[in-house]
This record gives sequence, C-alpha cells and structure tokens, in this order.
Amino acid sequence: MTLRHAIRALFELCEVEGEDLTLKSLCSAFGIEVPRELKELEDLPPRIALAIAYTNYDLRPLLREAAFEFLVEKKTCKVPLVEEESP
Amino acid sequence: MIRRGDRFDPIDVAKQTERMVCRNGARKYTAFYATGVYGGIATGYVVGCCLRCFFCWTDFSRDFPEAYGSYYTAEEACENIVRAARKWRVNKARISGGEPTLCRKHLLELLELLEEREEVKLFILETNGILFGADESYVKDIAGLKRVYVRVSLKAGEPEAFEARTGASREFFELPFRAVKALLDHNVRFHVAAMTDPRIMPAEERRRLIERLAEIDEFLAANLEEEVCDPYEGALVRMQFYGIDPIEFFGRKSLDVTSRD
Repeated sequence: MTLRHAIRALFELCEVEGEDLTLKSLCSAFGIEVPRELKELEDLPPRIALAIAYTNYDLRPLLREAAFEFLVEKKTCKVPLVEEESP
Repeated sequence: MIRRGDRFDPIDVAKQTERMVCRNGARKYTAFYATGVYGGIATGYVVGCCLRCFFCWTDFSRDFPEAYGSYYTAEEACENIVRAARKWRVNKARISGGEPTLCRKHLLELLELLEEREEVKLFILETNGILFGADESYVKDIAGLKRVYVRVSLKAGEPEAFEARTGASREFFELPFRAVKALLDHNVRFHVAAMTDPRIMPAEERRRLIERLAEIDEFLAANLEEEVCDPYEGALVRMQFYGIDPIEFFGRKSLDVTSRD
C-alpha cells in the first residue's frame, strides 16, 4: 500500500473513530500498518496525527492529494479542483 | 447580558464575559479532572463563552458565568492540570467547558507554562474560532508554541443558520472561517470540527460547509470531524429555550422518557 493509499484509508477510518483511539490501535483494529512517515505520531488520535503530519511541508502535497481523492469519492461534494466533465 | 431573541455581537459578548471571568490574569474555572476523550486527557473546565449554541453540551456556567467558578492564576491552573495528568496517567491536556480564548493573557501565560512541563505532551485548544478570526495576531501568538494543537468547531455552513443556532448575528459568520485560514497560514497544528448532525444541519448546508473548507484547503475538508448532538442536560434545556422540543429531537427512547399514555 502506498502512503497516499494509506492516508486515503485513514481518512475513511477517521469517519469511524478519529478522536478517541490512537492511530496505532485504530490501524491495528482494521489490519492496516501505520505508515512509516506517521510512526512517531502513532500514539495520537488519528485525526490529530494526520493534522500534525500536514504541517510537514514535505508530506503536505501527498496528504492533499489523498484528501482530494477522499473528498471526491466520499464527501459527495464538488471541490474547486474538480473540472466539469464535458457531456 | 443577552436577552431572549437578541441577535448579539459575539466580540462584545466576549468582552462583557471577560469582565466576569478574568481578573488580573486569572480566570474562572469550576474543576480540574481527566476524562476519556482523546484517549485520556487532563481538563481544566472554564466558565463563559461568546456564543449561545442551543446544542451546547456544557453546564449552565456558560450562560451564567458570574455565578460559577473560582479564579485561578495561570500558575495555579497549570499546576492543577499537571496534577490531573499525573493522577490519571495521561499526557494530553485541554481547557474545556467555556471558550478558552477568552482571557487572552491568562491563556497565553498558561500555554507558556505548559510548554515547560514534561507531563503534558499535547495541549488541545478547543475553540469556536470567533476571537482567532477577529484578531490574527492572537493566532500568531500561539503559532510558535510547540505543544499546542487547535480544534476549531464550526457551528454552521451559512450565515442565517449561524445566527439561528448560536444567537450571534449573521454578520459574524465569517470569523471562524477566517480563524481557519489564519491557522493554516501560520502553520499551526489544527483540525476543523463542525456540528453537522443531520438533525441540526441540512444535507445541502453540510455540503456547502465542506466545499467552503475545501476552497480554503482540501485537506481540512477531508480531515473534518463531524460532531453529533448528545442529550446532555444543558442541551435539553437550551433547546426548549430556542423553541425546539428535545423529546421530538432526540426521540423518547433515547431520553428514557416514560410515556404517560
């Protein structure tokens, strides 16, 4: 699983439980490995871990990409980067 | 301070409330404890807020701050929070109950003190974003603090709904969004929460709120924490005040109300 896919999966898991479990325990419950890049944040709640990772400018583009995919698929909203498909 | 039906200026209410809950750098708290949210967190419970959301879970110290709590200096609050963290073996802390950004001097002193304490690794600042949105320098003040993490809670996705739910005038609807933008610009560690409970926020408004966040930054929208309204005593009473029947809202079963029929 690439980091982008893992982040995308984490956004989904956060819909189930984003605040009260740790990233480590949530990943373990769903059989997902904590991405290496988030390892040092694994004892934090997953939503908080993701938000802290986002302050890292090296990880930011990838997180934004995963966020974009998640929004289009799951949040059923039109985000600014989506271009209208021609009929 | 606020009469029924008034649409108020939340900045003005913040100032009026501060006159009741802040004194020479001290702030009114009612308790220090730890609770299970965030996987365990030490909590200082403050009184007073600048919004009057009908779904708010807090006790009546929000509405009558003059009648509740005792003053604690930043040093005293810090010691009590650290003591609670030690006692319950947790390494996260927060201020909850009222709005923590009231009494700026107190909050900044407290945050500075907590930066020095090994017991607290993360301080979660839960805010409605009104004061951060009104004054970007406040965001700048916390931006350098390495243990601070902010959770901004949005109440509505459109001005009319903001007014109806919070009691604050719709012209202040933008402030929490400005806070979000400022937090992002200053690279503060934070996420956004919103009361998107479908019993409170229609689907179309939720969609607009998420789009609005995505316009600021897609990541914030994807990482949105969607809040659900729970039947706490404070919320039940406030709903009645706002003309909402809590039995109808939550359902008889969830309130454990016995039918007289």
